[in-house]
Amino acid sequence: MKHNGTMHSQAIYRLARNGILLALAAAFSFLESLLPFPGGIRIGLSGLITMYALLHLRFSEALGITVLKSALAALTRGMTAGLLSFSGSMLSLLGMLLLWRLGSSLLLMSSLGGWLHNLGQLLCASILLQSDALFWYFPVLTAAGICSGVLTACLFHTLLPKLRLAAHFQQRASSTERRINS
Amino acid sequence: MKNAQKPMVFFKGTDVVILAILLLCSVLAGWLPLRSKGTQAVIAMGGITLAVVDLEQEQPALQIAGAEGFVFCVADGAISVTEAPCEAKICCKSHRIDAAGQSIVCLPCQLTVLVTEAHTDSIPLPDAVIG
Repeated sequence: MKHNGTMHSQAIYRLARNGILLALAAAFSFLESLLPFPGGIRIGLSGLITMYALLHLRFSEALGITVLKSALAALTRGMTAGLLSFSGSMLSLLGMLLLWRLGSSLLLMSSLGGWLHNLGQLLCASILLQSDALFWYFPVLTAAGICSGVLTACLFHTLLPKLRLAAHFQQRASSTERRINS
Repeated sequence: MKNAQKPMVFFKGTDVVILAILLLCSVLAGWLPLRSKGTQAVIAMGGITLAVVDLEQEQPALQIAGAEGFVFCVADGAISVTEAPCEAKICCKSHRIDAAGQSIVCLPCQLTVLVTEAHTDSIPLPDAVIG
């Protein structure tokens, strides 16, 4: 029974954590939509969540967060935005997984992830429009994808140790509180 | 299965080379064909051509049947979208275009404005759709 209880609490913990990550991804996506970049270019802050999920959680959880993020985009910004988000995120996630398995650096993995995200969106847009008219925009999207990937990698590299430190202090505070209560 | 925690370096020397090659290849593939100046713009919706506009004729507020809500501006041999019926209005924020191969796209309305050289009256469609 105790074992079942532990498994149950772990499942609740994972559900809550993944829900928070999904909410963060949606919030980042909304925040970056407020930035006035031309031509639909985004800085890709929600890539932080995808990369965290890929590197620190189970792959199924990373996949679930990615799919639900696209579903949220479809619900809030329309079906076209949802399809673009899904195609870009999936190609980016699978590409980053492959690069990680091949022993790539964090910067390269993130940069190529950003590029693959834009490539996936470009391919999806070309299919929706039944035209290759967007292909001339490819160099701009490549540069934007690489820049957003570098930014994401730098933020990830800077923020993650601080988050780990905060989690460590929180864990210590919780254990002290438990000892006092017992 | 939880992903194995591998030690991951932040940066390798080869990263810059790989990214520079990628950027160079995409610039060569995307922008080399754009060297010639276009003479007309093909306006299409959902792959169906609505109009072919001569870029030499100045038209500050052009409206096309079938593309209701869109207003185009043709000036100085270039075309731009000044008004669009969708919420995002990304196409209105695009710069005006004048080189053959350049395009302005409104994805929610599936509208494309493609600058071409003379005597092209339709956007090239794929030969086959697989899958």
